[in-house]
This record gives sequence, structure tokens and C-alpha cells, in this order.
Amino acid sequence: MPIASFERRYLRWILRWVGLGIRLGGLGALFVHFALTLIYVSPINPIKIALQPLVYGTIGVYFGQNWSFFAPNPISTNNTFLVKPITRQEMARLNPDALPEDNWYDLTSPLWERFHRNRFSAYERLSRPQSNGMRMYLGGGPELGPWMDACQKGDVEACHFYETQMEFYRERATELLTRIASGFSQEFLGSDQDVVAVALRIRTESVVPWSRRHVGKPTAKDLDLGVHDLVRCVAASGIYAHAR
Amino acid sequence: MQDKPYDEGNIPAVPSLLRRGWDWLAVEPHQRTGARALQVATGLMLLFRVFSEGRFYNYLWGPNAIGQGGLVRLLGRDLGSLLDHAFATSAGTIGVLGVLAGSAALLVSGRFTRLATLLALITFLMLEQRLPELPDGGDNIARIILVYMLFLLPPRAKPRKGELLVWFHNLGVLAIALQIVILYTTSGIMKAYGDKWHHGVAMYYVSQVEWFSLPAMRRMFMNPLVVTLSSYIPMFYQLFFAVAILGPLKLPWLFVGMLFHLGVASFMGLVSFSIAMVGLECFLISDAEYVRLAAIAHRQIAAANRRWNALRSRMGPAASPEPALALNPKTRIDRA
Repeated sequence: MPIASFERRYLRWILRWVGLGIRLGGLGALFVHFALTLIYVSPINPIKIALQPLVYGTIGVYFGQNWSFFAPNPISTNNTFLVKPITRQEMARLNPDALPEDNWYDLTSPLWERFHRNRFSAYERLSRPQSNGMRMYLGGGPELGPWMDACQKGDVEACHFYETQMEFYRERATELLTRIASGFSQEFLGSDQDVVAVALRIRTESVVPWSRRHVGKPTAKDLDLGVHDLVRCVAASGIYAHAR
Repeated sequence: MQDKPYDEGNIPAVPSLLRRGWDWLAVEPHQRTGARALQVATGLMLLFRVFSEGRFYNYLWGPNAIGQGGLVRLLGRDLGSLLDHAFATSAGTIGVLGVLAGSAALLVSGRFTRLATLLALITFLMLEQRLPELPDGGDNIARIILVYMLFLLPPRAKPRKGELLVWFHNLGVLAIALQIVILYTTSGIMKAYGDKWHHGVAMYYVSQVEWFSLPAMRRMFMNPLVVTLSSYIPMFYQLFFAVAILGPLKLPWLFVGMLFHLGVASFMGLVSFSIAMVGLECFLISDAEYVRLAAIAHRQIAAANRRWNALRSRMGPAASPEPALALNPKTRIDRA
């Protein structure tokens, strides 16, 4: 009997310490997780640069987050995505450095117009891949903002990181925008025309500055992203076919 | 004598503040009502996304969609490829959306919430990684919060005091609260060093951008008073959020946050983001505060009823509505 009682006491003692270990382990994990999260969301600083592989390999991959929400400065441009489907005949006589100005389609504005009419629709979501693709091409996305700022202030390490990331983002953005343009071309023009490529263009229209809000006119600037082979069989969205 | 129903957390030698913190984590589960509100809001937000975007499943996520990303970077080649395989067919893509809608409905109804949270997290992550250019800030916070929600107790669970499940529930509560504070504080600090926020004109620029505005309200944001207040209020709200929710201003602060996000939903059109944020604000209200709010609401309803009855009796019998038929047994028999 005393042996059984000793065993019970011993078992309880073990369970108590295991329970305490699990609790402390959980608390410790929470502490480490939020310490890394704080470093991840903080502006560029020596700790962030030193711990960059660890922070980006953990929080960046599994708990990636961006809470800039229109900060440090809000978006002040309207980026619209323009697409020009190019047929086989046009392709033969095309000069990629001087693209013709006819038959460019604005894919973004119609989605915004519909979205303004119905807040519960998916039009804003459907415009997001285009808008984020364009932002990614132009600036690499909001995560890169602080790195760009630090680079402009002369931080060499930040510049190196920014440039490597920009190369990757530009490639990804071009691929996405080409797929969107290809999907549109096939859906809008159907199979009647022998489209083989798409020319991509970003039109950036700046909001009139506050000081000139009553008199100013927005200024627009075009950036050509080149001519890209059509990606066949991108699924139709179902929204452009109606506009034919 | 003090009731000590649990052994594991018994650390008598620690200073009282640490002791209080330990007890907060170990003894009773917190934010039960808030957690429920968060589950409902997250479920509604996911349902909103599935029902508004679901019909574009082939274009956004399907086998030939514009999005061709996957989970390999996150979950490795084996598991990542296995889950990505769902997007190899249209039926698989519909299946992913179906599971997401089903788990969102379970979250709203409060049934099998842990399983529902896990399934929602997996499917939401699959969709997010398939087309990473689609989500907004609301999806970002929802995806992170879903991980912490895995630790929350199911709504009907009645754990014993000091149980290990209580500890992990409270760690989940703490994680969600810390994440909300990080969200607001980061955003506030970033705004504070932005020129346009600093000079009170940021909301003018936001209001003139097609993506996040209502054309009908653009002129309103050309007014200096409107633009200055609408730029400074969110910035200060976010900057002082962490301090405010620890003091007596907590409830009014959260209420202002809810109103602010209703404004974001209507003015900026970010409906799913706003649902997620209102859910998080509801989460921060403690169980005791919910009880207090419910008591206030009951008192107000009772007072309103009394005022209405008094008004009705002053207006005389002609103004009072006809007696309810169902209350008179004879009438009920006659009618039958």
C-alpha cells in the first residue's frame, strides 16, 4: 500500500511538472512569436537587418503582414491597366518601341465604375489582381516600401535587398498581367481574330494636389511593359464577353 | 480558505503582479462572448467572400486561372503540392470554396468551431496562395487570427478551473489581443511619419482615388475641416489604441472603431475588411463588460417599454391596438 501511494504521488508530481512545462513552453512560444512579429512590422533598423533571414523566414512566410493602411502616404494615383491584343498580321509589322495608339482597352476603369454602383459586388476584388500587379511592377508592393525609403536615404544593405526583390516582383507582375491580358483578349475578341500576343501598358494618373484641388487637372503618364506572347486557355472571367 | 482547484499553476513564491498574470492565464477562460462574436464575424466575412467572388472561381483560382501560385513555399513540396492539386480541376476548386463556405457557416452557428476554424484556415490559405494579389488587409488579419482561434475553447465547452485547455484558450486570447494592438499601433506610427497624414490632407488623396472612393463624396473631402478631421482622427485613434483599451475609455474607443469601420465599408467599399475589424473590436470587450452592456440594454428596453405604455394609456383606448387573438382561448377555438 505505501508503495502504491508513493507511485501515485510520484505520478502526480510528474504530471504537475509536465503541465507546468507545457504551459511555460506555450507562453515562451507566444513571447518569441510576438517578439519576431514586432521586429517584422517595425521600420528598418539594425536589429531588423541583423535578424532579417530569421524574421523573414518565419513571420514573413507564415504570418506575413502589412498594416500600412494608406501610410506613410496614401495612394495618390489611379493606375489603369491597358491592353492591346495583337494579331498575327499586326505582329509581322510591329515595332515594339513605337506601339500604335489604336485599339487599347482599359481593363480597370469599367470594374471601378461597377464597383461604385454596388459595394457588395465582386468588382473591387476583380480589379485587385490588376491593381496589385501594377503596383508590384512599379514599386514591388507595400512590404518593400520601407526598404525603398531606407535605400533612398543611402542605406547600402537596404538598396541591395530592394533591388533583388524588385527583380523578382517585376517578373511576377509581368507574368500575372500577361495572364490577365490574355484572358481578356480571348474572352473579348473570341476566336474570330488570330491574336498571338498582347501589349501591356500602365497609365498612371496623379491626383491633383490639395493646394490646386479646385483648379488643377490630373496628369497622366503611360508606361509600356512590352509585347508578350499570348497565354492560351486562360479562363474567361465572364465579365468582358458582355461588353463585346 | 482560498479555493485552489488546480495544482499545476500553484507558484506561491512569485511576486503578486506575476501571480495575477499567471492566474489570469491559468484559472478561468476569458473573452468567451468576445470569442463567439469573433467567430461569427469571421464566418460572415468568409461567407461574404465566397458568395461575392465564388462565381469567378475558374477565373481567379481554377486550373487555368490568372492565379497560378501555390502552397509549396509554405508547406513544402509534399504537402503543398497535395493541397495545390485541388486546383487542378474546376470541381476541386468548387470543393475548396464549398469547404470554406461550410466551415464559415459552422463558425457562424457555433458548432464544431475548432474543426471549422482549421478547415477555414486551410482553405483560406489555399485560396490566398493561389492568387496572392487578391487579398486585402481584412484577409491578412483573418488568416493570422484563424491560427490563434484554433486555441479558443468551443462556445459550449465548460472546462474545469486551471485545466490545460483554459491556459491555451487564454494564450489564444492574448495572441489575438496582441495582434490587434500591433495592427493599430503599426498603422498609427506609419501614418504619423507620413507627410500627408501629418499635414491633415491624406483623406483628400484617398477620396480622389477611384479604387477606394465614392465619386459622390469626393467634393466633401475638398472641405478643409472635413479633410483635416477625417485624416487626424484615424491617425490618433490608431496611435492611442493600445493605451485607450487599457483604461476607462476602452468601450467608447471600441465603439468609435466600429462606427469607423462601418464608414470604411460604405465609403471605401471594403466590406469584408470592415466585417473582420468589427469582429476584432467585439472580441476585445470582456465577458463582464458584455454582461454590463446587456444589463444596460435591458434597462433601456424596459424604460422604453414603460414610456410607450404610458404614452398609449394617455392616448386612450381608441389608440391602443386590438388585443391579440391568440391570447383569448375562446377566440382561438372559434377560429379553429
